[in-house]
Amino acid sequence: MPEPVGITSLPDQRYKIVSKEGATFTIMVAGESGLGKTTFINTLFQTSLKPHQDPTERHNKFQSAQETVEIGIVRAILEEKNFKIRLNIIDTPGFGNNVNNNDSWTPIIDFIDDQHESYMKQERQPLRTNKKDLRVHACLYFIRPTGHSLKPLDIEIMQRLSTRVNLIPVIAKADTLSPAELDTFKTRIREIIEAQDINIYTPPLELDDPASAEHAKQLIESMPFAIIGAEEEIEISPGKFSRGRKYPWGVVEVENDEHCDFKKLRSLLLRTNMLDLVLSTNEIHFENFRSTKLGADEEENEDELKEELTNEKGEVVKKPSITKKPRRLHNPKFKEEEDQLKKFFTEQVKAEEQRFRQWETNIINERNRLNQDLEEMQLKLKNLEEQIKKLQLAKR
Amino acid sequence: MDQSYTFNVSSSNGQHSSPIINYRKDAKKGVKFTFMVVGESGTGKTTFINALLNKKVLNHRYESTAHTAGETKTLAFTSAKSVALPNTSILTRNEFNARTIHEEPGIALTETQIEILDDDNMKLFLNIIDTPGFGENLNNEICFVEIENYLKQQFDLVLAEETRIKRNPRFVDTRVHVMLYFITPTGHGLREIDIQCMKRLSKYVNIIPVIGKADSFTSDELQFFKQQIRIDIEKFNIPTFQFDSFLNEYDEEEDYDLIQESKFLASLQPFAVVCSEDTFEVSDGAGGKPKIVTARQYPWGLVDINDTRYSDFSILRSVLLGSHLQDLKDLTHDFLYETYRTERLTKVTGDAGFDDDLTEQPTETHDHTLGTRHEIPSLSNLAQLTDSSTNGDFAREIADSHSITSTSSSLKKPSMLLDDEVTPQSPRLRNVNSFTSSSSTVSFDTEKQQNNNQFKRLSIGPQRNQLRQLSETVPYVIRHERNLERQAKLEEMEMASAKELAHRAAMLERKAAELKAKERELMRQLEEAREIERKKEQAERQRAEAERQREEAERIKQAEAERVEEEDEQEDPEPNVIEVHDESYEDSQEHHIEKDTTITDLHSIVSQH
Repeated sequence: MPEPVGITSLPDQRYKIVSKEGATFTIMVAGESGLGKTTFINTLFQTSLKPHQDPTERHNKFQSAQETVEIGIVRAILEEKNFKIRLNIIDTPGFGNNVNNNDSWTPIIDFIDDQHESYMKQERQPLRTNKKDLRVHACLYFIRPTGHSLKPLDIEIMQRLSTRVNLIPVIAKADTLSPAELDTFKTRIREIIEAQDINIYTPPLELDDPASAEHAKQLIESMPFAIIGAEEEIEISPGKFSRGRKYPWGVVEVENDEHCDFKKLRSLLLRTNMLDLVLSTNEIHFENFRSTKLGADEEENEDELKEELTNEKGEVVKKPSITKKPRRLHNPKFKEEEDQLKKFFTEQVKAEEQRFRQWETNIINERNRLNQDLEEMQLKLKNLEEQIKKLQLAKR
Repeated sequence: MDQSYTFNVSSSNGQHSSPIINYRKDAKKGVKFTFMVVGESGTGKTTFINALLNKKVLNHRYESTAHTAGETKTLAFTSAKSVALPNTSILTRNEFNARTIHEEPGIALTETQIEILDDDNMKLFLNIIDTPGFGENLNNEICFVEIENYLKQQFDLVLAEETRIKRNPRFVDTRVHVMLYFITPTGHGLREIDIQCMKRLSKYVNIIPVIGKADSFTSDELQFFKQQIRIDIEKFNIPTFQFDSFLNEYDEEEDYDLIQESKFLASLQPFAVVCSEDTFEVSDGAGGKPKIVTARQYPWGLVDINDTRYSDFSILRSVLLGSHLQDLKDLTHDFLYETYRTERLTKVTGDAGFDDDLTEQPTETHDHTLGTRHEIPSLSNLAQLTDSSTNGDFAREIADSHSITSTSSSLKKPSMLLDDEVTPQSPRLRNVNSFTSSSSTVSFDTEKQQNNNQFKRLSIGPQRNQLRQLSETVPYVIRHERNLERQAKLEEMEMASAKELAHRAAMLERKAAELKAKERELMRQLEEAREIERKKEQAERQRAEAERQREEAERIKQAEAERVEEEDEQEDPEPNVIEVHDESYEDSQEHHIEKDTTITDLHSIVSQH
């Protein structure tokens, strides 16, 4: 038997490269405040990655009680068995906290688009070794465990997110729903997701590998994942520690499949489907963004070309390319203002017009009156003239 | 009913005996109590109510109309888009529809009346107001407005009834005695919507903040959350119901229990409740007989909702339906309503005080044209009269009149009788004058003692007058204002629908314009086709013309040739002349004909000549 050429060692080479380079993974957690986003992140990576919001700070900035949606980024490097992973966690505190939540999703959506755009720009640069990549690979949307259904706000943002990132809906704080309630809640959410055209992330089914296919199927079936977060280790039985929440009525174990879907979600995020999440972000969502963006740019370029052609006879003046249009021209806040201004303007114009019309009618009336007067005068004059004639005749 | 209401013994044994008398008296005809639950959906409002009454009173969200103990009717509804009708809304139909779930539900107020019988045979008529849709819209401003309007309206109704001369014996007091505000269990503190809502509504109702679904917190977290809420309540000055606010009224030694209890309740606030409708049989650990508890079953344990270690449910229940029921009612009537009333009446009387024309003739105020706007100035006149005489004491005067109207409904009757006797107008006027002077004496206390008596006697009349004025005016003013408000709301809705209509009309118009444009295009094409045809015809005609001309030219040539021949042949000049003449005549005629055609043709003919 001849010695093998050595092609089979390619995976090993690849493995070495990858393990040396490490990987980048970006997770976004979105959802109303108080749903355990921070706790979940800390539970997922089993460290205190992200500090909890400081209550005193909250009171300090909480002057007007109105909050704006912010974007918070936490960077960390995790190391497990010499393999490094660069982790970016994006939090969106303040979402859904206000009375009027119209457009509160804009900062989040804009952030995602910005990352795509900046990555695209970096790709075009001549020197592109040091790319900064903050594209969101997975977005966990936290649903409040109401037991009813989704709110319009949830649907609005999920629809927008699902076209841009790998959206994974999760039911937060699932320990407030009993199994029966959780079941109906999940069914309703699935129905809504289907009816409202929300594309959530589904792990690919690999048919040639029955074990992983089975696993993927299980994952798909348990969407949306019901999760519980806990940062503390609790002694469940003597000598045995586990992450969980200790209530007076019992201990909820995070890593117990009967209590919640945390393990499944972790498997989806980290163990089995991380690569797929990264790749699908690159292949589907980034490509989508790129093609629409480039398509739009091309149209712009065409317009520019046309302008150049018309200028040909004189001198070919290439206009300074204003490709960087002021983004977010469609900022809804401005739009509202604009509408108001427009309304005000039209009202003013109307009022003025009314005034002018009044004026005009007045003038017309005045003219008519004067005309009448004039006629009367003329009539009188005529009469007088006739009288004069008569008198003259009589004189003779 | 397996759960009896645990009335707190300490409060019944307390010093304040009047509630007890009230209580006894009420026991016969039953006690009416209205409460309201407000809070974001999914915080356990419905479950709380069902658990509170231990039977199915309200339907859960999306639960098909199952049998419930009470009848639920919708009191008010506002849609987020202001075009939808209540009977098409998700809130009233209560059906789950995944397709329309993205629409904002608006807000509804529903009322459920239920009668429960207590252990000591006391009837309790409960009126439960639920607010489905609260906090579910993108913009939740309408929610407060709607609830605030409802609460105000109830106060207005009572105010109108109170000041009426003839009272309706079947009048039902619909004021809301307490509002349970369910705080979403975030673990952080209050949110903007919580703060705004509680602040706005606290003017009209006692608010007891409640943490819903407290089973999402461990003990430490719950303590932390409660602490945060307390800080927020203090920081934003939210006037919630205080259990320890009347403590200094009580004697420290005699009411020791009561004070302790109040302090305990105050320390508990905000109450954290865990609710459930399901009952489970639990065998007590020591092997006793099985106990039935209302609880929530989780894979990791059973949460007994009556366990005071982690759920304040049973305490809240005894507070709500037992120990503080009367307190809440009294506070609503004596404090909240009274404040509202003062403000309202001051506004009513103060509003029209600028009408100077009418104050010139006070006599006019006395002919009562009921139900018209005329009523407002009539009231203001008195106010102004008092105002002009006592200057700074105006507010006090008004307040006085309020206390009289409110405290002594019995006083009103004689006043009416007296008023009937005073029919002529002049004495009234005099009365008014004396009244003003008397008030000045009261305020300055400079008049002699003997005069005072006289004045006092006299002053009764006009005050009654004033009372009568108030009683006749206020209901109408209030109704009028309410009508105005309603009208404004309707107008707003109308505007919204008009806008929509206009939008649709614009769309239709645009379509029509498009169609017209298409038609025009078609017409243009048709015209073009016709044009081409016409051109063809013209070309044909021109060709025919050209042919004719050619023929003509040939004929002329021929004729000329003939003439030349004839000229050559002719010797005799005379006939020749005639002939030439003839010919020239003919020629000119031809000329004429040619002239009609074209100039170029003429040229050619001339040149041919």
